[in-house]
Amino acid sequence: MSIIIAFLINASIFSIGGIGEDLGIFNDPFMQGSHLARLGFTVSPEYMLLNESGDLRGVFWTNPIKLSLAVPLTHGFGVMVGNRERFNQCFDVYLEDSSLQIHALGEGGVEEVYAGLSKRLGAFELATTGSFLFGNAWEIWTHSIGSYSLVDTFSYRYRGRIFSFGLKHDLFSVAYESFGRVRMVYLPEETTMIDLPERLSVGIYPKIAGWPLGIIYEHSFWSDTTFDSPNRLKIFMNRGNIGLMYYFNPWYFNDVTEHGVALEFGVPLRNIGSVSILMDFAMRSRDGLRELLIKPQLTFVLNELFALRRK
Amino acid sequence: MKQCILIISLIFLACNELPVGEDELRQRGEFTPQFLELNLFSTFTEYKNINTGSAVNLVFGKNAEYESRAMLVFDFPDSTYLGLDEIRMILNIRNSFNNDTVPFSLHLMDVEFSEYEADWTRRNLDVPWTTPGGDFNSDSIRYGIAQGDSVILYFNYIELEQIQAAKGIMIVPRDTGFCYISSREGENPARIILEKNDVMIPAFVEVDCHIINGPEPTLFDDWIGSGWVYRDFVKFNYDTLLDSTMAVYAELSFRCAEYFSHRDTIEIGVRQLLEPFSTFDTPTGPLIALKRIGVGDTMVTIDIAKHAEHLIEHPDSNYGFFIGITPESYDISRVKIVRGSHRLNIGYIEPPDPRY
Repeated sequence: MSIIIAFLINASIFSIGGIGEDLGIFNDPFMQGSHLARLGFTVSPEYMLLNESGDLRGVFWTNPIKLSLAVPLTHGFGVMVGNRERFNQCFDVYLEDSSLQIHALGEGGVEEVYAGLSKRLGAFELATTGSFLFGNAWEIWTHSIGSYSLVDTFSYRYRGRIFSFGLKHDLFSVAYESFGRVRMVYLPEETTMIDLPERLSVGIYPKIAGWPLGIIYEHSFWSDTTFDSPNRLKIFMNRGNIGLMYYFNPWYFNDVTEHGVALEFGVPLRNIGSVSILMDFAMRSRDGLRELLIKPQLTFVLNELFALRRK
Repeated sequence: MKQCILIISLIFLACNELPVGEDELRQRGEFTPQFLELNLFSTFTEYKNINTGSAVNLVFGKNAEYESRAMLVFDFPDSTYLGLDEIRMILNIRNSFNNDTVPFSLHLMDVEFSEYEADWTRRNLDVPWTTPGGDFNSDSIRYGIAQGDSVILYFNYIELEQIQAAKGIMIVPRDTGFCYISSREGENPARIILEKNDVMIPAFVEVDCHIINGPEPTLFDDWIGSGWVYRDFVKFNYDTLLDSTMAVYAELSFRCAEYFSHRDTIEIGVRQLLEPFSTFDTPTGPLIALKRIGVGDTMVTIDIAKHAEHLIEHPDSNYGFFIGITPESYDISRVKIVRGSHRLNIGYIEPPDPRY
């Protein structure tokens, strides 16, 4: 295999299967207990290095900006709205098979706009969110034999919804995501209904040696038997401005496993909010193919500008 | 700092097109290229004496097989002219053709003709010429020789009045050879200049076309041609191996034996038939392939992947296709294709599966 230097932009090679990379893992419906309205912006470019049989290939990608707004109301109620990616279907893969060369390029995916309501009851928080799922994706497959090329295009349109609800205490949390369904229109006319997996998330938050710790176990239930129903685990701790996280995320298809560690450093901005930088390193693998992910994540949180009225 | 630059450089050096992760791609299909040659079902030649009213060139000339005559009608601003110093007609020769030196005569025409309907046998769709080749006064008003960049012919008052009174002028070749001049649809069309006191009054051509007579192919000839138009009908048998596949290419090839053309290159086009073949005028779709070849090339290959795609999607609509010279009214050219040399080789793959 010859090395051809080129510049490429895209995301995980594994997102070519199923309905893409599931970015909803470890999401929960809770407001995280703040007493101030918060507006958050998150930017997360990512760089991936693919490795297979001694070959290396780098891929750089910038995710869409995530926005979130959480507003505490009276009597312990709070609302939140925001957007995020739900399934990422971007990929950029080359194949060589004797005289055939294929370049497959995928873009787009399923986006999510969510709205949630929470209620504090003493040390407990009850929360629920509903999400509208939408998005478009397209794939451009270029097949070449000798000097001849044929370009084939796939287009998909997605519409759907999903709901989650949960109960959280300072020491534990339980959340469940359900009723998820997406209608995929494989343009121009073929329609498929996809039942999204239900997801149970159980967390405990002990303190060990003065360090607040969080352990979250998650299980997805796919009704589609072609997919796995994986068990996931996330362990995190934070103290002061520093947080540390490890997660284990087996994907829902093709035995893809992912181990990740992340280090977060947050800086409060006086009378404004905070800024935090999270460096996420993950290793995804299946058989001999490995994908090293480096994903810095920069988050600005603006606290309620009229917070002084509370004083 | 240098270490940082080195690390960043290494990262971007890894951005490449290596086929890393091919197995992931194979989740969506096998992607093994297959190759197939379709069997030839039939070829034959259809021909037609077409109208050339919209052609960008006018041709006059003849040889043992062809004869072409040009017809012109000029638009004079006034009906009478007095005191003219000079009356001259200018025909601009198209140097993009390999023109011959052609003696010709000019004849006044007795009857009107339709620019977009006339051909060698008819002056319009309903009325034939009295004599095939056009009805004109047998006495010529001028002789000339076409050579160089242009032809200039001078007239007197009497001849001008005759030209104005006639239904047109016909240029009739008097010896072998062919000459191409600009039509009014092309650049620099024919015109008559009326000069008086150093003032030039142009009379531009308002109607022009040429009419052609050519040879008929035998049953065993595979010809393509323009001017006197030949289309080579070709049909290959569909093979069910192609069912539910995707053609990456479909290489049509054939050998050429003889050329007749005054150009260095010609363009060959392919059009699919939309219904079973019946005549030359069987409806066809748009051009699906176009290839410029050199006059004298012995082998022609054209990618007609669109035809293969059509066959795969609609195997019951395999009506074949026409090969021809494009545009068909541009000039007088003809290529003899070696009978039985048509080949259609297809490279195809299984299409990728949808995502879900």
